[in-house]
Amino acid sequence: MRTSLRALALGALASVSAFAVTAPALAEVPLDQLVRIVAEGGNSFTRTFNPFSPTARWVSTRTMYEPLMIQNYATGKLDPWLATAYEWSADALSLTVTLRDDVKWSDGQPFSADDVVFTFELMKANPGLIGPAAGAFGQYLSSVEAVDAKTVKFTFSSTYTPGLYSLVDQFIVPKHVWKDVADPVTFENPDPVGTGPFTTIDAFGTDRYQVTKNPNYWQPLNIEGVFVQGFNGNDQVSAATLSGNLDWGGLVPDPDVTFVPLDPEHFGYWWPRTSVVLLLANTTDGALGDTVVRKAMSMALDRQRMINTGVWGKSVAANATGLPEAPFKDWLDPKVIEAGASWVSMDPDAANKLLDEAGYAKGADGIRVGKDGKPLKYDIIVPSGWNDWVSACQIVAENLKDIGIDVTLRTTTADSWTNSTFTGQFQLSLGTAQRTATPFEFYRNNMATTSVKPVGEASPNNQQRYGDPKVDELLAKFAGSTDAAEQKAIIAELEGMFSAAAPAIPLYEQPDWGLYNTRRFTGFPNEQDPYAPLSLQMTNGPLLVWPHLARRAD
Amino acid sequence: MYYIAKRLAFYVLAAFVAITVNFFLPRLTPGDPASTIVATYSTSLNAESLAALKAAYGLTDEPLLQQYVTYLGNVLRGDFGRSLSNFPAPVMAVIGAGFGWSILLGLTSVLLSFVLGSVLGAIAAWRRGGWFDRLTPPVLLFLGSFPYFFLALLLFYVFCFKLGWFPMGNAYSSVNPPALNLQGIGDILMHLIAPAFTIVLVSLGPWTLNMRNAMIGVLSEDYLTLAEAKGLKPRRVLLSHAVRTALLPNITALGAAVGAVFSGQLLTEIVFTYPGLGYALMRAVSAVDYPLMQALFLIITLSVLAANFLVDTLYVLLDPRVRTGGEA
Repeated sequence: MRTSLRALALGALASVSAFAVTAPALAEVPLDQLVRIVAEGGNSFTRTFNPFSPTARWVSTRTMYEPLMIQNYATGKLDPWLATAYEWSADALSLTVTLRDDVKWSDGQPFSADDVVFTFELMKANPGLIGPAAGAFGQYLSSVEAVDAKTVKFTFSSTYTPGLYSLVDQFIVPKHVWKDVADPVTFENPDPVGTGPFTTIDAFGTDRYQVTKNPNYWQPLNIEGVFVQGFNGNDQVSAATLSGNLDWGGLVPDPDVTFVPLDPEHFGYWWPRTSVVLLLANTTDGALGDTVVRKAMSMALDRQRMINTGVWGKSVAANATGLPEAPFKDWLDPKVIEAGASWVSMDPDAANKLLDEAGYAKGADGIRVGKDGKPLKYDIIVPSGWNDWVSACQIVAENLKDIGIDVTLRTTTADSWTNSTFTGQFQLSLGTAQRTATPFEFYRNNMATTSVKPVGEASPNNQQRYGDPKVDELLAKFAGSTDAAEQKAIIAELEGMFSAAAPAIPLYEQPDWGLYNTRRFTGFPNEQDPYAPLSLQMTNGPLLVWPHLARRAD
Repeated sequence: MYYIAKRLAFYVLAAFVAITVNFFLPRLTPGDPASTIVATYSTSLNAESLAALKAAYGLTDEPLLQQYVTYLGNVLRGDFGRSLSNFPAPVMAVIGAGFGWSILLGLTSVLLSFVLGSVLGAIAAWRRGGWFDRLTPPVLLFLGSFPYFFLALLLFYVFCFKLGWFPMGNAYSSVNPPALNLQGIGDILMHLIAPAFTIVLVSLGPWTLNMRNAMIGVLSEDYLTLAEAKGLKPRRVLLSHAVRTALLPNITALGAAVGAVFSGQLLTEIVFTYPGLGYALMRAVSAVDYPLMQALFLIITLSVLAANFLVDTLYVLLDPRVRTGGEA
């Protein structure tokens, strides 16, 4: 017995020493020089920095590889990055992009048009590579060529001007490294070569790692790098945030009460709103396919209560166009918003009246009955633990009871929720609008027939399965135009159609979570200085922020 | 020898059944990995990428039986494929990262509660009816019946967050693993104390009670009365006669506890952000990461089987009845 105990103890010690043996001898940049952030989720990291993986390490596309231009959701502008300018041909069938002069890869090799062409060709040859421009070749792109070392020409197979944003958003990888990679899909890329600010992995543990300066970065930097920490849950992230152990990131409930008062001089948050939370009704399911029913449902909802309980009052109710105001203020048509205000404002009496007139009479149990004789009884599904959404769904269920629609809240795992909504096998659910440069995608994703997949087939958008051929026509006209005024008029028309048909029910604008702590570093974007989004989750957003950060002088 | 061979055959069969269940169980859960990945990253993906992604990840639509045969072949070769939630990292790399830490935390806490529980139980039985005996079992049982997650969070909040006595997470301070010198080991121990202590706290009850009850039984045996009558010192009677015999049931339980190390400390690892396999398992399940899930379940199953086999073998050495009659 005694010997077996000793063997176990030795085994435990041996398992520890196994790590010490494999520990690489690297000079770590001292922790106090690095910006401390929360990793993409949990711990157990592996040293894989393939930016084309859909589950890529967070730093891959936020510090290591860079796109040609960055859509800045805080300012609504397209910021030049690896490219300094773009120009459409008169027929909008080719797009010429001029690259920045002084860019080098982190290994010292010059960055050129060949790298851009190579990246797009690589994605064309390997459909398993994921990135903003994945699928571009299948949809609208016919070729990419280098006109000279600093000029790239994209040729389109059909006019599609919104493609600009996907193409310039694509991160670029170095040809001289990736041309020798046997299978780019499964390439682990443990020692990345990129154009980004931080590319050197100088320390890597299973639950933390640090990425430090690219010696050849093309912009001045005042910080040494980032320290990425893994946490296993929201409570742990909150604890680290509240104790000042993070410089950037994290979500804490009600920051005005829990976070800022701890150190009002240094702790701050900024939650700009760039998306909208939508109530989705599966339009293939009986009465839910009736615009009148969806509008009546919308009129029964207490949006302010959802905002107060779900996001601590830090949002506003969505308008009838379905578009968030801040990023799309130049696109919004005030006439549509005014005319549609009644169906996105709370008025249960009007909702009841609407349903009565449309012939949805109440049965003996007070539940209205559809034209097919079935009572209006629905399940609303939401992932458990998504607290803001769960409380919104509870309010939806309560409010709809008041107009004779019986809704039961069902919480599921995030995964089974995804599966049900993507395949259209649900009745009611919540969804969000993607963050995009123009409202084009919002209307394509919510009301174009091209985005409607049959029930049972997975699709990441148009989960409500609503399609209108007239929308397709307008979108095609938009995609064929380079004229801003014409595009604006088309969007205004689409806004009107959205407000008329209610393919999805806009609830409230979705805040982008972001907090900062300026005890050690300054320069984070905020309400007074909104030069970039603060959210760490936004692809490319952090790239805009790194050059602004500086170590606080002690 | 025949007995051991028989047990071995049983365990091989059990392992095969486990591997089979392992394959089919995750596929019965709702959800499909490719859709989940698309959902999580839908801002950068479109529906068209879905098919390409499935192909790249090796998620085929082949008949289940065919997939099963391929899977069996791969398992025999030790090939668990690539993790979907950590793509393109191989499953073995993900597991390798956390394996040692899970073992360290698991064995430390199991051995500590075994030793501590046995000592407390022995003392309680030796001083039966005294204040220690009356106080210890109910307190420990109360702690054990506490909702574990809550207790762990409470300890995390008080000792790590508020008082700052222990670090709030990780297995060591530096980013790269520390050198195995005095300082490095001290650092690892410092990070080990809080999570190990919570496990010991909630699991101490059964060890103590079992030991106490076994001791009480042993203490009434004639040979102990004889030992005392011989004039042996009480301390000697306690240690070399009573404790040695009474410890046997706890040793049996130790086998099972060691086997359950990976599955048993999931919540601890989550609360204390300990870099073991617990979180990897949770993430694998929520992301429908079949390859990672299967490999982890397999490790759990095999370690339970191995520990049980060890106990079975130990029985042959400890219990003469097994050696002669083949009946345990």
